[in-house]
Amino acid sequence: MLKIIIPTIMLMPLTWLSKKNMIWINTTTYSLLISLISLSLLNQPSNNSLNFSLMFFSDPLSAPLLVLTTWLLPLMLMASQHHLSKEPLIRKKLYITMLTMLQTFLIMTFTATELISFYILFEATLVPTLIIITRWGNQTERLNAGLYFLFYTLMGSLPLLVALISIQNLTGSLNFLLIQYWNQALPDSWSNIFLWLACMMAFMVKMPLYGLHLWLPKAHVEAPIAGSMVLAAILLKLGGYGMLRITTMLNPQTSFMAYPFLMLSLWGMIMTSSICLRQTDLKSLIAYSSVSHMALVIVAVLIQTPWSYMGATALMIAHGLTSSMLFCLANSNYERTHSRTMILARGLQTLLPLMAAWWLLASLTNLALPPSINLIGELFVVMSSFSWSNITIILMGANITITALYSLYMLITTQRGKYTHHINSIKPSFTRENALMALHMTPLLLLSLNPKIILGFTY
Amino acid sequence: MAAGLLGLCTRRLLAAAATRGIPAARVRWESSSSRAVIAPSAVVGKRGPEPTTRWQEDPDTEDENLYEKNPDSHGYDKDPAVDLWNMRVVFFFGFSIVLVLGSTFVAYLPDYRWSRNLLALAVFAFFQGASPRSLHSVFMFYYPSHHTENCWCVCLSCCVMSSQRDHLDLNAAQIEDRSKRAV
Repeated sequence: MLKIIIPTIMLMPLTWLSKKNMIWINTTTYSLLISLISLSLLNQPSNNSLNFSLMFFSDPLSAPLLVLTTWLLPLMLMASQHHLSKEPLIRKKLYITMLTMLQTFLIMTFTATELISFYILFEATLVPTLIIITRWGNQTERLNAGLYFLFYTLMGSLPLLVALISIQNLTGSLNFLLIQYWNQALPDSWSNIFLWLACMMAFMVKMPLYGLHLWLPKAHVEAPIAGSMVLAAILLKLGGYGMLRITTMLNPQTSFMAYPFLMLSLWGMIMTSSICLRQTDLKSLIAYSSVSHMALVIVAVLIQTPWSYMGATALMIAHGLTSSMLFCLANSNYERTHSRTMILARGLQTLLPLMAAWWLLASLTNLALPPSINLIGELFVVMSSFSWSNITIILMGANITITALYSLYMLITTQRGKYTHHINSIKPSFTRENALMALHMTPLLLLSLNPKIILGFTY
Repeated sequence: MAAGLLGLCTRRLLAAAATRGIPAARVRWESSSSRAVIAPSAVVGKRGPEPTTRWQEDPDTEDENLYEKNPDSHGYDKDPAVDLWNMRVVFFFGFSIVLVLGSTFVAYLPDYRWSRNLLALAVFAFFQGASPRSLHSVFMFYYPSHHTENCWCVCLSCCVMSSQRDHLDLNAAQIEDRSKRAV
């Protein structure tokens, strides 16, 4: 694992020691090479996990998330180049350092063996994200957004720290590799119910669960493009990953404690999808879309069947790439029109036809068109939830329909129709932007050919 | 009809003149077939131009058009040389190295689940008392292309395994347990 962590850490001195005109080239090159190295983790010969050391390991769940994390850094760098072009050199380097630091913490979080180490790194990812949102966001609301983001996550995760220390006292170890063999059921008592809540709430806030999701639209909208990309693509998946790990030791409470959260998620996915239909702000629409998709992941994780776990893992990877791509597309609009309002930049297909093709592909993957991995994830989740309770098919079906509605609404509003009179002087698409979209879409399409690597450890 | 069309054109001309602020000729058109009259507006002054710069949400931006100084800009940097090299680096490392080599690596990853299933099948069959010939045919069914190369190895290993197995005295539960532990 050091072959990924040390080069990532070394991206920071690379940034500070590079010449002015080479910082973006150097960092993009080496971050792409780091993502190439991380692909070796997909070779999982053992039924159990790849154990690199006492501190780091990877298994079929964490490996795809790790590859997604390392793949996203060069994409974030490419997306940020334009809006940082007028910043002083020191601030550009600081921005890249924040992204690199976040990347390092994320890699270590996904590969940590010890739960306390996982917790510390989980919290550590908040710091660079907060700095990115509050320092480089565009509007004054970014400060409020940063506060919501920080305090929602902190309030959810402080009970987790107490719970982990309690479990450490109980079991003697918090190592993932040992806990999966700890077959002792938690006794049924009030304190264990609170223990379950304490363990799960941090990840529920992070996902986010509907009801605890208010930080997400603010943070996603006010963050600069790299902040939005990493929030949507990776940080939400930290919650899913944490839930998948921690539920192994919370049985049998999960079978009855999960009901209120399942109801909230099932209802929340309908509500947030419906809210998307009423959004005027493009980034806000994509943010609420993320809440809706993550509600599916919460349902899958709480149902705890092999197929639901496969669906959750596939959906996390698929949504990571799709959501990040949608934010990049929204940013390409924003850089031209300096507005996030959808109707102010409509009819773009006439002016930017290639970008319209990317919009079409991103919208189609967002609505889980076959044979994309989005469909595979959603289908597995829908099937396993139907098996859990037949009635959920109504809500799942409604959610899929509304998802299709708002995805097409977003596509038609931004691309179709007559363009407005004030945007006929916008600049054509840059190679950078088209390359960025291609680097999002190509892995998504390639994974449709070989989805078994993202189906997790229950495949 | 011609008069109607002419009237239509006149109306459009006067309307365009009014919006664009071009001082129109004071032309008055009266229809011969009806009592329609088209005349320029009596309002003095022209309509102001549509706002094109102050409708933005964060208006204190100075958009630099990268295409102005460098028509071949790729959007990375103002300096054409840096811009070109950045584009090359992204395409070379992003597409040619990572996507091509990476997807080749991933495509050729062995299917461990399949091989584990095959091993489980073979071990279970072995402990059930399958003959070396039937064990051999299990392997050869799944490895037909390796028939000539591995034929001797598989035959030999089947014979060795069966001779060892014959010395064991296992019941059904023990057979199942050993099969599970073996994989």
